[in-house]
Amino acid sequence: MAARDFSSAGETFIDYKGQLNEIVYSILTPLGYQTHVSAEALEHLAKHSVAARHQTDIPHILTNPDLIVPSYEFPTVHLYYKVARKILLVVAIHQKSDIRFVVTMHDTPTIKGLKEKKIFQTDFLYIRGGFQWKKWK
Amino acid sequence: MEKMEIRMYSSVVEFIFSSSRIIYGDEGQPGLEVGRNRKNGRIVAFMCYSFPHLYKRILKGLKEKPIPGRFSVESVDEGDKVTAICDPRVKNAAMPEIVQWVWEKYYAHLEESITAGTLHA
Repeated sequence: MAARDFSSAGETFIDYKGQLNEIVYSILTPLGYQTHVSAEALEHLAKHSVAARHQTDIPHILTNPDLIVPSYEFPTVHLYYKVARKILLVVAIHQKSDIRFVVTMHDTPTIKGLKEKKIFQTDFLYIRGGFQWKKWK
Repeated sequence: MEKMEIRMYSSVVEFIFSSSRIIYGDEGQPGLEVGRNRKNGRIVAFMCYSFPHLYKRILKGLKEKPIPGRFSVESVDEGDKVTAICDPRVKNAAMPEIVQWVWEKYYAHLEESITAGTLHA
């Protein structure tokens, strides 16, 4: 399992809804920033069957993604994609006041915005060598 | 008329009208991911990754590409609490009315902390 950093565990941050979040662990991503995973985010994910089943994959997805793209509709949202057992999982990361945190995870049939040409290869923030991104267009 | 549950965490808002297994994807509905029933492909939910930043785009998109049907919001799940909803504004309501209601009730008072940004939008 990818290394989880517990040094910030128990610290809190305020999310976009003004709600207090308690950090469970943090992950250093290939983009060089720390992303926090809060108890409140995990509680949210637990309500979705696929996300609940893949919750323990979050550290691996964030440290070893296949692809990272900004959301074309709001680029400070970063979408981390990873193929796991033939399904494409995406973890969405938000930024607020220099703090980045996981907000949701789900499976998806395609990489957001590729088919509609709202996002291009030049927009990719990170791609794992050999990842066949065109397959998920 | 479909019964709807709204789930929120931070700026993520989900509009769910069937508790079946949902797979979300971008189908060109501005600001919204479309959630389909994994088995029969029926649309059962919508989700926005960043509602307070995108709600105006969602409303504009709903004018250009309306989501048919009317909905009755039964509950709002804010993570730490689930509230039953009796507000007549979101009973037998169209999607734009529900989006506007969520904005006014849950996010408008936080507007000053919200910044905008777009990419190829």
